[in-house]
Amino acid sequence: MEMPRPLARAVAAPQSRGWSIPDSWLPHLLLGPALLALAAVFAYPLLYSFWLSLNVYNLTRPPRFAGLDNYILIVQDPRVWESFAVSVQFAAISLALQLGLGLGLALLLARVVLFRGVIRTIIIIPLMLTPVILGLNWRLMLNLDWGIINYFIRLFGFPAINFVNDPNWAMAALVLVDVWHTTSFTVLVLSAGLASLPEEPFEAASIDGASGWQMLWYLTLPLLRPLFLVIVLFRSYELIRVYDIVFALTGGGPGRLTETISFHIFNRMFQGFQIGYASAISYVLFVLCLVWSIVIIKVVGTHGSQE
Amino acid sequence: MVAISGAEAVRERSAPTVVARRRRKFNLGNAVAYVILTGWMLFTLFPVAWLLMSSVKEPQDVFAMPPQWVFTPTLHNYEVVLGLTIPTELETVTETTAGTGMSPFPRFLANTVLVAVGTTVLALGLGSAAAYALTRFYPRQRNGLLIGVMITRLVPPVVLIIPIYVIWRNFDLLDTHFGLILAYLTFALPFVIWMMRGFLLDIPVELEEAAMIDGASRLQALTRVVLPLAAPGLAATAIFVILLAWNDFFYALILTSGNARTVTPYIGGFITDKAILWGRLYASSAIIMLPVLIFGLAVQKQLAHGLTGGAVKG
Repeated sequence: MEMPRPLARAVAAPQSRGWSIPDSWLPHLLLGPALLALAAVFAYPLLYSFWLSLNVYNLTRPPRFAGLDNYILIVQDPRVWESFAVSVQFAAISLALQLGLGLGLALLLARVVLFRGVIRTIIIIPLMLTPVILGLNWRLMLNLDWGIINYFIRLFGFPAINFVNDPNWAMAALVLVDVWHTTSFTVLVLSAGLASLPEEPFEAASIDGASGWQMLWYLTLPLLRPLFLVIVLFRSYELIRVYDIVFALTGGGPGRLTETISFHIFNRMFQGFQIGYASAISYVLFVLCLVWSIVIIKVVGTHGSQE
Repeated sequence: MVAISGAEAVRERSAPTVVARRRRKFNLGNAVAYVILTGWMLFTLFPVAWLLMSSVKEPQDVFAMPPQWVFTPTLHNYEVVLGLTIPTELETVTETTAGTGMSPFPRFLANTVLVAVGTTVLALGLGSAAAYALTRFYPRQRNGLLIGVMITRLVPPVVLIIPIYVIWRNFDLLDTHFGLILAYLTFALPFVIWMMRGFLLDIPVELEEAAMIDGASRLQALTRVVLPLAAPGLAATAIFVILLAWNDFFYALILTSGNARTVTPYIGGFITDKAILWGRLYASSAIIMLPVLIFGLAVQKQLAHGLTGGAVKG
């Protein structure tokens, strides 16, 4: 495919079968380049980052080895843990809303027949849009003086809300934008699940006189559980790494109320140039992410074996 | 309310169709479903419509209060952004980066296109070859390698960006197109491997074996039998990679400054409360969003599959 020409010819040429090495080379020629690329952009940077995390380094002077000092510093640094807390809070609220709203919308969508395709297409539009752009768009829409949302709020006789700068509203604004942006991911995945539900259990249940509520609670939701876990896994990842929307909407403010962990590490890195310390925090984040995904995958695994 | 209608949906699906059809004549639950879905669609569409509408307003009307609902659309903002018109003096004065007066947007847009295409070609070439190898060869090492690829997808970008920034700086890759493409491989390559593996698993091995019995070499079987069958999968995967690269803001913000700067960090730079620039922000955003929408709608059938990297068929 992307093989250099001479190599491709070398592999294709020996149809005489007298010289059979190229055919056995093919797997390595196919896999090798990708593994080299992954080593260059993943393995090397991750190892380098770990080394950096053991140093004090600010780009101008050569790194000074400091052992585990950075990690010890993290434990005593409330700013780091506050940022972790902000991220977890944001992820939890956002995810809960998206699961609830997404389930509701997916069930409604499965119910309607007329225009279902059109509705589905419209619902998933935000999912494709550039996050930083939609973040900025919402920032302007939520603007205190000229924002269209506050225009409507005033129109209905309520006092305008300073969404982005009011400590009580900044997180809500962030959640609002994320819900707008990605709830359709939940709808999409659950719709795929609803479409492939087996019919027999539902027929049996309706013969036995089960109510709609009972079927939803005892059949639909348990059957959808693997998909809920997929959603939780993927969304929690996206939510923990969220940067663009925070940058565009609140810039981490007011104060540090919406300073998520990604944002925090970024600031340490590119405003303070505390490269070593930022690397150490990011390593802690990486390990926590790994642990979290192992937990989720274990849950999926045990569920799968029960089925 | 929502849950009730959902439960009824389940019942209705399993009920005999005749009954279902008779019930559909007028059904309160259905009406409620349409009302709620319409409400959500309005919520979804309004910000997009507002953005598009604002992009065709005169600069001073963009932030007019009360908002103008009826106005004569103008392409002024687009002309300024695309460098067809020198901005009016009012705008130039307030813009901090005012110097030449010409918009840098076209150059940044070219960078975005170049980097997105470069990433797609490289990731698709390397990734689909690897995906093929991981479906047909290496039976013993396969699972370990796949888990390794999976783990790379679990690394948050902010973890990678620090060492990548320092390493790229040492290798003079900062602010180069190739440097940004390499950084994009961190998400594009694992994505392609997983996506393409799903598509390639669906192609029966027997077809290749038959070709090889007929005298084709392994490589010929790959290029003449597998490749044409995998073409739709390749196309869908390519579109996803383009979308990922196109929408990236994080890496571009850090790894580029002038030469290789893409559009997203440029648009991010509009963050200012000087409302006068909003018109240009909206026009730039609309130009960026259009291809994304077209591409996105083209792959909407595979969207669930693509967004979960093959975890969900749909």
